[in-house]
Amino acid sequence: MERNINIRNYREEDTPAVVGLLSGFYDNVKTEEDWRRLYLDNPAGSAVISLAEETSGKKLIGHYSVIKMEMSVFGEKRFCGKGEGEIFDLPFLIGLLKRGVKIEPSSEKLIRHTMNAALACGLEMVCTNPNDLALKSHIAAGYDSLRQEFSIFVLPLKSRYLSHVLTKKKNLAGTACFISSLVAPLIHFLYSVKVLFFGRTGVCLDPIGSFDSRTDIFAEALGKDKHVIAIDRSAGHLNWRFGKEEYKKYVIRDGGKDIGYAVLHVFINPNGFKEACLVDYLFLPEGWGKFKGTIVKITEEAKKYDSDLLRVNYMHDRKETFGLAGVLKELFFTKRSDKRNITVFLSSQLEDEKEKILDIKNWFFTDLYFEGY
Amino acid sequence: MKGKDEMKEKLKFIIANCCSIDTSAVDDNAKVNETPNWDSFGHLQIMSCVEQEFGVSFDTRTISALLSYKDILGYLKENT
Repeated sequence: MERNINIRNYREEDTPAVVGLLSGFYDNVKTEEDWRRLYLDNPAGSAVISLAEETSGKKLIGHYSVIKMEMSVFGEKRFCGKGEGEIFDLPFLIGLLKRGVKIEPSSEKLIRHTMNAALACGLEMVCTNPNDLALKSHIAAGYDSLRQEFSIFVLPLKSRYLSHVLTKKKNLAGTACFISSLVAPLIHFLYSVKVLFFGRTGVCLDPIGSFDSRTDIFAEALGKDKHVIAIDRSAGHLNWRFGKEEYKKYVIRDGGKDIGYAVLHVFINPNGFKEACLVDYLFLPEGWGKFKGTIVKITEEAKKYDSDLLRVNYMHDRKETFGLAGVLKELFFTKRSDKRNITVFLSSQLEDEKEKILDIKNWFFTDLYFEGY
Repeated sequence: MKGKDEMKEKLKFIIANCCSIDTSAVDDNAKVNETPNWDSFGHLQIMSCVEQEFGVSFDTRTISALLSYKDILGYLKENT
């Protein structure tokens, strides 16, 4: 027995099935409203969405999309996208296999179909971060691999979080509580001394409810940079991405002047800890030297929200941002290496720039690439 | 101890069988994209056989998270 899988474009009447499929996998897509906000109500236009359908039962079994966004590529605005949500109804497919039904691998086809539709819409570049399971099908469908390694910097703010970290280390499991009760105050003492003597700066954070022309000046400066590839951080895009209450938004000021912005995501993580994560930040070119003062202030904000930890995911030092990883280490953040697949699909319009685009050093990365989807 | 060893052997046999490779080629570090033929389709076949053999049932999130021999073994130790 064999089942055919049909790949086709999304239609309005598919919405309940799509939401049903995605809600089993994504925490941020639980309702139709969540889905519409992320996939349809995007200021850059509705996402390009493709579906895989099992033909005999007309059952939706797969989904892939490209969410549209503007990016600046070496000083020019380009119409780009983020590949997102390669999801299959895996328990259903496993059920078919168990019954001896032959099914054809369709992941690569689904991605190819979506990319063709995205190209037809005029998209010039699509980046995505597939998990290991989806990586091969992305590469087979025409994506190039950009990078895998990045660093997670964490500052424990409460001993209960430190105790959790130590418990995971086998040889410390029995004494984790005791050790953390000693180490956590020590870290805070050292941190306070460091800040007292070296961290006093004129930096302050001005909380804002939404992004507007005041923050657009930072995006414009980044967009003019002829050496960088970055998501366009215009107010419209940032308000769409960080509209929810759990995102705390600030303009960074120094000496009475606006020098950048920062976004702190405060949420309960899967381990039950209240986590504050610095998901996006940007400075005017002359403001990067104030990163340390900004982190000190961000730490104060994280504490104000009663967070157990403060996390900063860091990809790499660019020439303009050189030394940020060192600043985090100086402030007693612990570093852990991690892996995240980043892949890029280029249209023929950008083919001449391929070598430069595939050089990770030309990208300005923060969690803006991953956050909120 | 015998039960755990048996579980390891069965799991390696399933992975080898689904990836059409020799059991000796499946070591403790076997994982998706690195073990021959362990791609997204091979993964589905592995998870299908694991469900049948060990009487467990996976949801989409779990299937997408158990991407290595060690991950699957850890799950089975905790859930069977």
